[in-house]
Amino acid sequence: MTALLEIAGLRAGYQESIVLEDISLQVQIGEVVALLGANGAGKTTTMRVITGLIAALGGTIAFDGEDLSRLRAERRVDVGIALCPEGRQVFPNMSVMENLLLGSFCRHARARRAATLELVQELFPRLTERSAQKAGLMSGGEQQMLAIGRALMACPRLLLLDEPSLGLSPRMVQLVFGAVAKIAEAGISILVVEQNAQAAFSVARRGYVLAGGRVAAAGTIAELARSGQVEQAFIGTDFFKREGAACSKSGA
Amino acid sequence: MSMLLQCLVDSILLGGLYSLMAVGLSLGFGVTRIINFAYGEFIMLGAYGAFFCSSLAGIDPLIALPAVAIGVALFAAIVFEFSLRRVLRAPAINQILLLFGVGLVIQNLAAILWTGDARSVETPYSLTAREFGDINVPDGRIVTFLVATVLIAALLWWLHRTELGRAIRAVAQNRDAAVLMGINVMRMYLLSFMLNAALGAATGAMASFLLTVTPFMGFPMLIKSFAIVVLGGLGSIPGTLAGAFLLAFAETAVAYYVPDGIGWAEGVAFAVLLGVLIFRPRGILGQAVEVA
Ligand SMILES: Nc1ncnc2c1ncn2[C@@H]1O[C@H](COP(=O)(O)OP(=O)(O)OP(=O)(O)O)[C@@H](O)[C@H]1O
Ligand SMILES: [Mg+2]
Repeated sequence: MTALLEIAGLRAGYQESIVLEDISLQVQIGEVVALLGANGAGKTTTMRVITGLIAALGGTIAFDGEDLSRLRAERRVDVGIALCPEGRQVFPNMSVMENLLLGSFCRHARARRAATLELVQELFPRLTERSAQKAGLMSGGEQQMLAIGRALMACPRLLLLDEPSLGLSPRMVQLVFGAVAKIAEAGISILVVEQNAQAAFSVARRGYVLAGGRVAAAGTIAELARSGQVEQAFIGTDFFKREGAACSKSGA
Repeated sequence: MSMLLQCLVDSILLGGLYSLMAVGLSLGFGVTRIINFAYGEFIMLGAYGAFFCSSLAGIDPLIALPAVAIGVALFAAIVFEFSLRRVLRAPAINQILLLFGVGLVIQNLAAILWTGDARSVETPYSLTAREFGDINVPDGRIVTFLVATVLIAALLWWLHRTELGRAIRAVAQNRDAAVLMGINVMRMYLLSFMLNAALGAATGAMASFLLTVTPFMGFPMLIKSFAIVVLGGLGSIPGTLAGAFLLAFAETAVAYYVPDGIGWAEGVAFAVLLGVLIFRPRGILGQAVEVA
């Protein structure tokens, strides 16, 4: 059986700095996989390469057996990859409904728009209540729901979630991950980046831990939790160096 | 009292045309984040388009307007493909210099091809006026106000009610997120640049029967558009509309109330630009950059 997403020997980065040295990972059809790692480990960078927002410098990314490198970023939605980006990135001056409609801009999703919208609104009833509100004026948790809902509107086969728990209250994290579990049940494959390992473990079956631009550990959640490699990756030996990297990023 | 009323009516009528003119610049900026310093030349091309349609074929400027706008938009597409496309990721100063250069080339080509002579277009409505009590309202101004209003309403409808319009606003608000929606950002840049040119040309076509048409008429129009857009906060359409009426009012008031003010009115845009940049660098209404 071929993996839905298969990344092998991926190298990527920004101008002078290589962030990802050699990343290999897979997501099988119907699987939920967690991508873990300290601040600045390159989790978001990995997501950006998969969606084509930044170019890979080496290695391969295949989706459903097809090489992605030839597809421009905006075409990757068409084949079934949707990203709910870090920091939500909703369109702030548009209504909740307009944000959702934009989620199904691509042709195949537009054809099934009404049905998908119904499913998304069922998953997040709050979005129906706030339908006419400006997205930028919603609470962080509501914006997160909107960002996930918007990604779902593209009818993806692979949903990429970048830190959906970022800045949310524990209750809201529970709510969001409850929805993620339902999305997984519906058969959509998910690659989820998390700092909140506990939340990630509640939905994922397997995980990868990134450190130093490489996959430092991989395995089932139980294996990762037992080995202590998750903690080690989060509070690694070069803790101060990573903190520095994270600070420079937030300043940019 | 009637002078104040006359001044207000004049400003509102002028403000309509200014709105159309500045919305073009504002929309282009909101999407591409590039200020089109060749905008004045697109206005000038629109004015010549209307002039030639009228003088060579006897077509009324308002009838010619759609064709002129489309023609100038296609010309803008060529400018985009062959020059602007290459500097989209470059520093702002490169983009400004490029477009300024493009503007100079167009201006001088126009001067060579069509001479520097001042031209004007005569229409059945450009010399007539109607009286409302003490108030005198030229028909040409009413016509431009109505056409500008219709065009702006159509533009707003398109931006808010169509897939493409929504996509173009998405690019203005968050480029990367727009890419994630499957929107081809380069195509939206091209489209917004063409819209910018079309709105400029439409303004020019109407200016053809209000003002004199020369190859050099674009620069003051650019300054006025720029002053309005800066006044309204870059990229905000409601702000732009407010800015347009404010500039129209300021110019009209100077013309009416300052001795020998008609000459000074043309300088108001410069003063506004300087004042806003010094005292309200983010505009009067706008805070963040947004396309309504
Ligand atoms: N646009 C950028 N230009 C240059 N360097 C960047 C850029 N974005 C991220 N980086 C750098 O790349 C490295 C990895 O960043 P990335 O955002 O992928 O980390 P992350 O694992 O998602 O971290 P976090 O948990 O903080 O979100 C960091 O050192 C960061 O400073
Ligand atoms: Mg990140």
